[in-house]
Amino acid sequence: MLELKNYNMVYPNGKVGAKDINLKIESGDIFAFIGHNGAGKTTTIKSIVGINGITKGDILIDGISIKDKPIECKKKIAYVPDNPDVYTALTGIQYINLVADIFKVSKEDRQKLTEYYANELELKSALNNPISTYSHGMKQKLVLISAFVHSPKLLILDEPFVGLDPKASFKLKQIMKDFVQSGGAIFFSTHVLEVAEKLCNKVAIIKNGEIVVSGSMNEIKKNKSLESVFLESENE
Amino acid sequence: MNNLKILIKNNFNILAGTLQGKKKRASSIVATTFITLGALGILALCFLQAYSMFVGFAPIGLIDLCMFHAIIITISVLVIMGVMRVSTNTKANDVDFLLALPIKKSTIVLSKLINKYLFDLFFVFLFFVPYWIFYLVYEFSISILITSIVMTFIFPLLSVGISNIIDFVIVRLFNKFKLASLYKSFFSILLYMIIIGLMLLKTFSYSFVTADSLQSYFSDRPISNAILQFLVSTNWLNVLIVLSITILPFVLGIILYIYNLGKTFLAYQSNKTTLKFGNGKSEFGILLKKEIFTYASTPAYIINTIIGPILILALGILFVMIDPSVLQLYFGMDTSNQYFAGLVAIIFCAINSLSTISSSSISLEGKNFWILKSTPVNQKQLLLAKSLLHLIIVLPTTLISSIIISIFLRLSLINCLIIFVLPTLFIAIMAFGGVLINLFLPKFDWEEEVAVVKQSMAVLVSMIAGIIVALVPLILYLLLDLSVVYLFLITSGIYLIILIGIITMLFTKGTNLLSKL
Repeated sequence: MLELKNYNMVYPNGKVGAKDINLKIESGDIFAFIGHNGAGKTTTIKSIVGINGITKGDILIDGISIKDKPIECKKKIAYVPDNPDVYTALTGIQYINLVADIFKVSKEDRQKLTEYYANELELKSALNNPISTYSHGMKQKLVLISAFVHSPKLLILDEPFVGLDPKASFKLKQIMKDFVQSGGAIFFSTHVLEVAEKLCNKVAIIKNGEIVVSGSMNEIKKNKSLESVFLESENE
Repeated sequence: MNNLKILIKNNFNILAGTLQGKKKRASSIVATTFITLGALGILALCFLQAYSMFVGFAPIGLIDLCMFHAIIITISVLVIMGVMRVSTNTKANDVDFLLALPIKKSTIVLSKLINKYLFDLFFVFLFFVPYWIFYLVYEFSISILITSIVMTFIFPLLSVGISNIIDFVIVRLFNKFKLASLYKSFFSILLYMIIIGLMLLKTFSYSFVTADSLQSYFSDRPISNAILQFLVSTNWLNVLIVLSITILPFVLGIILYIYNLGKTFLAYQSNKTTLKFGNGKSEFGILLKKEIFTYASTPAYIINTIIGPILILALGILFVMIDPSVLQLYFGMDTSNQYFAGLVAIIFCAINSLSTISSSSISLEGKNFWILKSTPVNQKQLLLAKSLLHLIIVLPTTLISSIIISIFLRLSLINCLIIFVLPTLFIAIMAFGGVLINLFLPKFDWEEEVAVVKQSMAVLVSMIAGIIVALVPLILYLLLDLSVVYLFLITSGIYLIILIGIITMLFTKGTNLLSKL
């Protein structure tokens, strides 16, 4: 579903954002991407979704290169950024309609999916309000609903649990599990190691733009906690 | 619906949502009506200006000069619009969102430029369309009608193209530097000064053009002349010239915009490992330093508020450079006339009413307002620092121009006092009054600084109030027909009373308002 092949990203000022990253995420995977602040998580995620360029190597979505066919790839992806910067002058439903229009979602499908996810995340009653009246958590929920409204194959989430209330966090975990059970794949960055440990079957730890640990959760952890593994990798 | 249509529809939804704000639909209707009436009023004034010009120049065979004037003014306004808009492309915070969607980069860019194009088209309707309508009234021809319509719609491409080209240059040149924002601001000011200087130099002398000197006057201004020739006598060379000064910058601008879109230009990063700690300066000093730093590092703030001081400085220099007979023609009086300085003072005050630095200073705190609210900042000192920033930025150029004019035009003592005292009091009123207005009309919920420094209600109210205050001496003169000494004394008295009233209110009710925000 998602493959990073010798992916490198160097910024115009020469700073290395990512170096020789090789990762593979299959359908059914929930892949945790962990690292300290500034390690290169968001840089990598932005390259996967086509915001950042790729200096060397390639990223394949369902076997298609994002470098060669970005539009084809983006049609299969839903991206939830770490900071839900959405058009505050729009109402919630206008924002969902915008995303659904771009992904050519039929009226029936968008209505069905929006109602389902808005009910799950308890945002339905606020969808007709301007986004400017939303809290951070409500914006996060709105972006999550708009991510699911076009039935993506691959979900890229950057710190999705930040700002969510406990109930919404629980619901999101359920939604993520359901999503991968129906054949999707999730690649997500997080600092909440307990969540990653319980939710994910694969994990990679990035440090200064390089992958230092990667593999299945059980392989990596062995009989330790993910927190111990992470701290050990940081101290190396 | 294709993606371009979807994004354009989204732009209109955002505009409608911005007008509506968080309040009821009624406020949206009021805001729309207010804006529409304002726009129609300005359009009517522009038609009136064009009409007066044609009525004056047509009988003496200078009809082409009216069109020429319209072309120069339109180009100048469009170039200024282009410079004013610099930095908005790269600062747009929906770029990541749009880039992650399955939309072509060219579609994203076009959807963004259409907004700007339509906005600038409005200015072309103000400054260009009335002139060609009157031109056709005097000399109707189908070809001129067609070329005028074509020109109307391709004119805005110039400003859109210019802003994208400058944006590209600025991002590439300055982003790697520590003081990138400051360099961007100074670069924009420099561009402003060049444009305004050129505009004044190229337009100030048209009143002396005669039928005999018309051609040499035109040929001294080749770009505007090419557009004029395109309108009145279309030939392939003129078509090529017009295309190269409108469509070429536009296309180049689009290419550069697409090229820059999505590229992450990391800001300056220091190699220093030692940290420099402050030594506990005075609270007021820190607050003032913060205001100055905010101003200097916010190009949109500078670009949209610096035009007044630059115009005044340019006028001061122009007064010295141009022939006294030109001044006499424009002012309708000799520079030794007792009312001359009064008129200059009114012009200085009116221009300074465009400088609305203080009236957006509270709103500009935006999402950072919590810092001031949650720290034990002395509110009076905060308000004083914001007012003082306005004085620091606006007052010096007015004083310099006043000194230049007083010395070079050898003004009498009373005239010197007039051009020093009235603008100084006026600027103080704008400085303190702006902060007070902003306290009554704050706007913290914004995405880009330009929404506050250019489009907020506080700025609009401040400008209108400023113009009314600036016209006080003129109104007094028309009503009471006083001598210049009495006029000066009464106006100074009124300005002083207004200023004391505003300062008293700012430091009493103002601090209460601030604590309730």
